[in-house]
Amino acid sequence: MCGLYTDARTNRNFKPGLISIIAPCYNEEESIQRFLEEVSRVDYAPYRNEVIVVNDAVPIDPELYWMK
Amino acid sequence: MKDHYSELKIVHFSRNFGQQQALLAGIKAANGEVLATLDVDLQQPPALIPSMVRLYEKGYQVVHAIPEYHQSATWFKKLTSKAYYKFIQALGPDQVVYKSNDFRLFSHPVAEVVRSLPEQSLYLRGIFAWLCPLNQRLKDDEYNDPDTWAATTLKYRHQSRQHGQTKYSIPRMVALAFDGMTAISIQPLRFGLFLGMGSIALAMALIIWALYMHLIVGQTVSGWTSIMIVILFFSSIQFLLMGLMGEYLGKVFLQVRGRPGYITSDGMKHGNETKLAPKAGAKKPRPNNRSPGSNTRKKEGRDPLEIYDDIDDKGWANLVDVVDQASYLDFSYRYEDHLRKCFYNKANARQYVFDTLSVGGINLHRGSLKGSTPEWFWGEINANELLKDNPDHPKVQALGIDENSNPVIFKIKPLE
Repeated sequence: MCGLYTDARTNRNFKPGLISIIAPCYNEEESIQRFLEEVSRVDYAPYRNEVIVVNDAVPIDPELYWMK
Repeated sequence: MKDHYSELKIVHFSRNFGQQQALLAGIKAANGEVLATLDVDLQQPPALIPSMVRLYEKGYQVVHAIPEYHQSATWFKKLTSKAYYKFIQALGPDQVVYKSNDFRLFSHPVAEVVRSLPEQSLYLRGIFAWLCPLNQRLKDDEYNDPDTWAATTLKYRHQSRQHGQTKYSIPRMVALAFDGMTAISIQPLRFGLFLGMGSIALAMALIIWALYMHLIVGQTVSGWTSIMIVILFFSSIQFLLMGLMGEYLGKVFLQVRGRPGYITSDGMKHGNETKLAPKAGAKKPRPNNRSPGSNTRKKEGRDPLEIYDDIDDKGWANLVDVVDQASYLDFSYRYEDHLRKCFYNKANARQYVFDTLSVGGINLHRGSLKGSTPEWFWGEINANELLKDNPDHPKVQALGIDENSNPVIFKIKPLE
């Protein structure tokens, strides 16, 4: 293998030059808007970026926490 | 919200499954070359990501951002986290990594391994520490050989919370802490064995003392000596056996956890072969790209230009989009300036060699650091030029077949 980038064959659909920004969120309605603004303000050049927000749903019954 | 941010993907959980699972779901949904995880509360500044990417470009597979706490963190939080990390350090080899609060950046081969781990109780910090040890020998500006996976750290100022309350209640934090302690190693189980050995030694000493009191001094109540000996002997044997059972339980735990025996630099896990055989042709991201000149394409009679889904107005397409399944190293013309800059900056310290080869509509750039083995290739292909002479572009098609007998349009081999 040579150099910076590893063999593409073993990896499925990764997109070269793409940064995935992954943010789990839990009951964060207030801050998510601000977060997205902040994230899109950053200059990632020469990369492109995508943002993945995982909405970890708020439990109806708090007892469910412990039932994983 | 999606209308505003075109690059936004949202994954909804049906119910609350916990932050670690949410992170995993995000990693699975992502398909970037580089992945970064952070919280939405802006305590971890997104502005740090570009500098983490610079470290990735230096060959580090994982970059941990280590928080430096502001005054605003309460003394309780500081104290407990300090004590906890001290304890964790005693358990596992890679210490600083556990100070990371899941703000990290990692490359796609690492992500590929994380995606395929079968673990149920997730503790990503432990997984990353296991996957990718810290490289402390290298200095900041040194280049790391990316075939040897290494992690590095970057310190940042932990911002105070701007909105709302922390969503990590104390019970949840304790739960995560316990997950961490039990998930990273089997040391806690081994504790029983040490206790057993210690108690045997103690029991022996006490038995000798009891016999001494009974036989030599002779001032004991009748029956005391025998009872002492029985109790001491059996309780210490019990401890020892429990420790042994713990040892076996630990082995079972490690087996059930199902981590691969080893991982190669390109992100292939091994030791679990049935699952991990590369799914040849099972899921191709852009099947159209793969064999532009092949028979199937001709039958369909589609416009050959269609395969270049990333053509700019001058007709230059990125090799990345043209070549699939070939062992190429990709960096498009779009990043060329950036690459030149970052390599030339290094030229003061080490000489950088850079040249471009142009053959019939294909530009191939080659770069290397003098005195170091890695070579980089990237390139672009001019679709118009290729198609001008022959719409089926046999030149490129003729280049052969790869190991999996997929047609390869353009294959670049690493220089010896």
